[in-house]
Amino acid sequence: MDDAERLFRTYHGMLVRYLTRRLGDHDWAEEVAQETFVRALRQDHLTNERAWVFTVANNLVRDDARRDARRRARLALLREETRDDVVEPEPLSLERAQDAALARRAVNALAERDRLALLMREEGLSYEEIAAALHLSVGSIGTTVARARRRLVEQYEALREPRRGSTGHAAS
Amino acid sequence: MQHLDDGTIHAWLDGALGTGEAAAVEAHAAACRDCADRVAEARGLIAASSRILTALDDVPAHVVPVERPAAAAAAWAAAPALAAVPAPAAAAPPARWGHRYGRLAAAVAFVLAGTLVITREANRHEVASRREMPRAGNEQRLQRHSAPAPSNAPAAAPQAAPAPPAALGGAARRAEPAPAVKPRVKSFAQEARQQAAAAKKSVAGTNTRALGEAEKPADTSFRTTGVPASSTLAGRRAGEGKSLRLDAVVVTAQSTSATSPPASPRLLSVDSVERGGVSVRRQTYVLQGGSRVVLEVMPAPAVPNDSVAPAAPAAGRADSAAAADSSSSAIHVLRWRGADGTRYTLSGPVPVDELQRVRAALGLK
Repeated sequence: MDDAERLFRTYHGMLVRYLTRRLGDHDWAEEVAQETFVRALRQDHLTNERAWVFTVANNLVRDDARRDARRRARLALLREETRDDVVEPEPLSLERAQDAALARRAVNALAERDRLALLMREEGLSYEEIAAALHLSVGSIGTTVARARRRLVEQYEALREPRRGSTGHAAS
Repeated sequence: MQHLDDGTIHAWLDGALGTGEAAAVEAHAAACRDCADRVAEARGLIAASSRILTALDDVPAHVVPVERPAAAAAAWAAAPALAAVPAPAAAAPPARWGHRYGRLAAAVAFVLAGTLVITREANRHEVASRREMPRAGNEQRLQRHSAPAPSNAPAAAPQAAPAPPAALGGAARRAEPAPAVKPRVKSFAQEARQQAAAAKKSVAGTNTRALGEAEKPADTSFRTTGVPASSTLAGRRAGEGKSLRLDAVVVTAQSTSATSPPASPRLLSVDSVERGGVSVRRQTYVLQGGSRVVLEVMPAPAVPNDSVAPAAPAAGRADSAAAADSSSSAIHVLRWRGADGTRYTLSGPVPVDELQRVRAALGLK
């Protein structure tokens, strides 16, 4: 197994999940992940591999966002049209869609740094790796992650509250 | 030692502290009831946030919540359109197709015209919506994403990985028919409080107990939060100023009688696709043969001319039809533009003339 394959096997899954959670778009996440690995292959030697991969992915997302949005919209439309499964979207489970929508809103309500730190932690990155990827001190990661978790849960709870009230089902 | 701060507690639970510091934190938490409570709360937050984030893995592509102004919501609350949607077939005698078609069209118009807000309301039976069962693919995907994230943290450190069995159990429960599920809601705050209470009972035990064990009961009750089968569509949340859009699954005519023409489509689901800031409404229909066709509706006013280049070939023409593939399972696409400029795309693995019939059956010009 060469280096490229090892890198891909090791990090592709977690990176795509991280990006999907962050961007809310699986296709976009795949694109960014692919580009990340392409860039990794250009490197002779990687130190702190996992932190490097996430740092590059973060930068690509930032650059992507700066790019002309219309170009991306066009590509997305073209991609949708050429994809075979366009005729068979997964039937939406109402409950799951609502869960996901609430989760998305709660995540988006976090400060950028808190959100990225938490998402990377969820992928198993160590505090050192998170610090390296976000250019923060290691000592601050605990506070950052703690704050992110608390706010995420509070936000989610706050968003759920009206729904629960309107349905008349009291908490048991 | 001073009391533990949140950052230190989370760092400890994440296995990010050195051996000496971790031992000091553990010793303090074992001796200090306040800090033990906070450790338990942090455990609850870790588990809860993991669970919230897991929901993001299962999101259908492009589904985003959209907030809308209170005025629009209020208009929907007052809309009498609910009565136009057919009752479940089980409760009604088989209707003539024409009649059914009219109602279906009304239902489609209702869906097309705006945003649906779905709530549970037991005393309104005009509309019955059936929950769509997650398909096997969904289940698999959920399983995959429910697996604990790989971690390089020291094995001895307390881990915050989600508990897969509980998560899978949740998925299975959600796949069950809804009526048996009595919706129960347990807040994360309660979950954290429960854990805090447990911690008080065994302060020393809390520090070494596996997180997965501690959270299973709470997880169970959280996952049983369900939407009953008799979910109704209504603008109940109108007064709240903002609400979620597009979360509706509507099933109108449940069965078709022998008098139905072959192409009477059954509305399976409605969702929205966000494309470059343009919201495209997507409706999936099931034809009698089981084929699924998708109707995409792009409202004219929301479409800046230069942002929809791929759809441009359809512009200026009344109709365009294309086959993506020449094989027998080819996907055909039918595009046209309504009188008001609305763009429609109907696609599915059926011949174009079948798509035309579907289009006619839906009353789309």
